[in-house]
Amino acid sequence: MPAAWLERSRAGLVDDLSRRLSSRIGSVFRLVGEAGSRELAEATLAALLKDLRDNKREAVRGVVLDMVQRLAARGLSFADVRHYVQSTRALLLGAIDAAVDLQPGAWRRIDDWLFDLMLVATMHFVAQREEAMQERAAQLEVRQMESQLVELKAAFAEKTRLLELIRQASTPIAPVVDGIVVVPLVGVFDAFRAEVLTEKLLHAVTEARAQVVILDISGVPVFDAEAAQLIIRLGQAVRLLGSEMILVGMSPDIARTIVELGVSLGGLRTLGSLQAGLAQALALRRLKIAPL
Amino acid sequence: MSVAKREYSGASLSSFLLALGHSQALVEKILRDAGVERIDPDRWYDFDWSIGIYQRIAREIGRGAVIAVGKKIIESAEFPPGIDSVQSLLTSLGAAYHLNVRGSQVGDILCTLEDDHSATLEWSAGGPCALNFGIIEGCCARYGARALVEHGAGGCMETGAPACIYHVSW
Repeated sequence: MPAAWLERSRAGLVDDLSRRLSSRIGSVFRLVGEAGSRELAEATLAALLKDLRDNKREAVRGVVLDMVQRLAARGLSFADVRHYVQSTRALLLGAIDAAVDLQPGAWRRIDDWLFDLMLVATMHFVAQREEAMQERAAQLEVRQMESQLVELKAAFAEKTRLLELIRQASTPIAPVVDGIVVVPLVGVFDAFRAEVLTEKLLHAVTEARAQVVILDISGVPVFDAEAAQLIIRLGQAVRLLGSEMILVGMSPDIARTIVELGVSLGGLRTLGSLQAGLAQALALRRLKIAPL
Repeated sequence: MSVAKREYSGASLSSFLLALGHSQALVEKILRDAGVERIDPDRWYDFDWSIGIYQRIAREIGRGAVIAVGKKIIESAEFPPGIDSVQSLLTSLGAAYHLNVRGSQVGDILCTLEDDHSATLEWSAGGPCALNFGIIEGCCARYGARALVEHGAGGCMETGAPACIYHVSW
């Protein structure tokens, strides 16, 4: 029985295998030392003994999987796996050759087990390395995405800052005379811009104690029903603060559009030019511009 | 000049820089930063200064590019007639290294052949670890063999270990 033979030879084989494993330079077995190598040698021979007794090849899988899992983090390499398999094979086959009491066929049974040891060890090693590579690739992807996110956040913050700068610059509020402010609108006047202007204008009216606001729309290229509604709402908000809004710079095209759309400007005072608007505002404030 | 002074051959450093090919602008910048315009192949340079050049370039171009450079150096280098196999080339690396360095404590490259298709190299010679991978791969590629090169457990020179161990199978 090869199992009985192995039982007798086991202690010597464990000694030799653990010594061989731990003496290899640059190997993970050297790193775990003689004690760690002995543990593996004992487990390997115990697995062989069990499989020989049970006439199976199951224990070999367990011992190899355990080795790969335990030593992967310490830097297990293919060269280590090969050294482990080659050392185990060389020792066992050498011991069999020296044995005198083994039945014919014992060599074959052990060699088959060693072949399985090689296959299973290689398979588990490759699987473990594949898993580690996938993990590294995933970590790399996460790092790349995090880096992209940081760049996007920075770009978004910069864009927001520039947009705010443009908005501030595109809706200037100029206090021209005490109690009179002029708001020249240039460019498309949409709901978003109306919201920004309303907030800014109401604040300026309160701060400057403005009684008249002159809104110049001569720089607005398109004046549709929505823009008209926004202007009316702006006028109502200004009026709630006790000020009056004068709409100036209305071109003939805009006037025609307003008529065609049937939009009522809701009692907003409208004048053709900024000069006319300013004159009206001065009159409302009982002021006049006199030559020095 | 003292014999014990550790020095590195300009020819060897120059062949490494030439192998970088398209990265010449980077090479020029690194050399300028190190205080020279070019490397003279006929003179010897301070050992640590030379290794510093290797390390700086390795940091700049990355591990993959350094491996490729190491491979290219060996594949295109000229060797004596007796060097005609992976085994003989790997075992001659130490001697080749000593032709390019002088002085004491410059390290070594020791090769142990394990069987017809595997070897272990104990590498205490200076230079980036990735370059050594490339050199070993190049030794195999020069004779048409595809190599599996693995860093042994137990530390790397780049993290303070006294030597790097490489296991190579082809």
